[in-house]
Amino acid sequence: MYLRIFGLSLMSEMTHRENFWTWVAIHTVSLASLVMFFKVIFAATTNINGWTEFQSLLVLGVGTLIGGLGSLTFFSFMYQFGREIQNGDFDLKLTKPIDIHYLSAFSYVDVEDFIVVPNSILLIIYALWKLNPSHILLNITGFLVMLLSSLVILFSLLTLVQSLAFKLIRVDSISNFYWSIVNIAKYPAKAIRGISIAASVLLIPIAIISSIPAEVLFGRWEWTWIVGSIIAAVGLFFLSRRVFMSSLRHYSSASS
Amino acid sequence: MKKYLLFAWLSAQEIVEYRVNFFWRVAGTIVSTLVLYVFWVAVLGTGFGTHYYNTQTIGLYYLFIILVQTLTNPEIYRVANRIYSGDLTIDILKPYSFTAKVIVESIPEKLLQAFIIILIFLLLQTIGVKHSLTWEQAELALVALFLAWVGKFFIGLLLSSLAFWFNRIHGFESLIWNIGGLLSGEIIPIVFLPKILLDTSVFLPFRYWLYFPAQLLLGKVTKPEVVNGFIWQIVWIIIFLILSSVMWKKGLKSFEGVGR
Repeated sequence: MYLRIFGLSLMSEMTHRENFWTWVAIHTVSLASLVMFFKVIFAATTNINGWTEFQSLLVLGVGTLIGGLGSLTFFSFMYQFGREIQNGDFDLKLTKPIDIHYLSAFSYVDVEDFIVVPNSILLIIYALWKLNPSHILLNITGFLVMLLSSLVILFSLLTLVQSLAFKLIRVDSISNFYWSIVNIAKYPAKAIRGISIAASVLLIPIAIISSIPAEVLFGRWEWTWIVGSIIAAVGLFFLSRRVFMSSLRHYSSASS
Repeated sequence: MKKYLLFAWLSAQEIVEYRVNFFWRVAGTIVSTLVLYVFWVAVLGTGFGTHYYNTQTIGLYYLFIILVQTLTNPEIYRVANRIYSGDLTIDILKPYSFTAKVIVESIPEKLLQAFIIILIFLLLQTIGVKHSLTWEQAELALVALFLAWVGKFFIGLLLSSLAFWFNRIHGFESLIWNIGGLLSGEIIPIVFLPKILLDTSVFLPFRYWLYFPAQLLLGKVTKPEVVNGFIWQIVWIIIFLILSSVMWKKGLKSFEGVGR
């Protein structure tokens, strides 16, 4: 079913090819700007609290990859779902013989962001080549598990905030908030130290999302963080699904 | 005048009606700025850039960057969406200026966001962050903010005009602001850019729309830089005023008013 949705989204996007190619340029410029940001900083310093240039670029690559994979899978949950609740089109989805949580989250694929994935993979390969870690196959396997864990965490957080739409109706600005979280995951959060407890607590989920998979990829296996990430992913997934399904009761068609 | 006040009032009511939506928008900006700030604190801890900024001034820099961005955001979707839906027909047939309506509709949210940023600034003052401006600096910053807003409004109008010919224009808008992100001081203070980018930024509008007003608010601009900044702001306003007027008129001629 995902492949069919992907095909339909691709066909739709290709009717506006100028838009697609513009987004190829945008995402490339955007990533290049951030690479430049790190290059400028590391031209004057060798590391930030133990994080070197290529370790930081690896976090940038992983954070960008997570954003790209999110766009190709469940990020559409941010956009269409709220509007459907607002104008009552959600009724049509409820009548379909498919899990409503799945249908809400995977309604279309944001093909505009397709280029983000190859761009970020190129950056990851470049950073890995420079870092030259040992046990690369083992690291990649661990990385894939952590990547999945990060995506599940992001999906669960999105499910939790989107569940509010049943009660509050208009929550389209959640996409702004959510993108802020996805974008700041491109910075090596674990390099930030010596700050207040409140700021540190804020950084924990950001570190879990991108820094932990990147660390595993270059061979730094910190088991407390790894196990914590997997437990958070499983726990949040079940909690968010429960919240979403119970929030459905607040939906009362276009008048809700 | 009364009809425009009514548009602003309706826009304010919409914010109150969907206040949680507004909260998420503000929360996103605060969280991302806070993380960028603490990252910069870590970077400054390595000794990088300490001759330009310290942990206090870099925090104020990003706070002012958000303030300038908030107040000067052209919000082109307000125009482009009317073109897509065909609702522009209603606007251009009624006895009010469509451009003025778009401007006043954006004011309540801008003011509310600016109020929140100023509150954060005052809160920082109470916990020991010291920053003060002279009246002259404040006046110059206000003029720069106004000119930045006018310049961005006209480039916004120019980009919105593309909606007359293209089915999706948010890509063009994002491309412009992504290029601008690096050259405007949004991602990194311009003084830290490599020489080639620093020199290029002088001839492009982005730094005058963001970095220049923010630096004025920080009180870090010399007199020759002030004069130079204002001249460039006015030059870019004239350029985009002409371009946007031509595009808008051409677009209106091809507009069929049935939606796209």
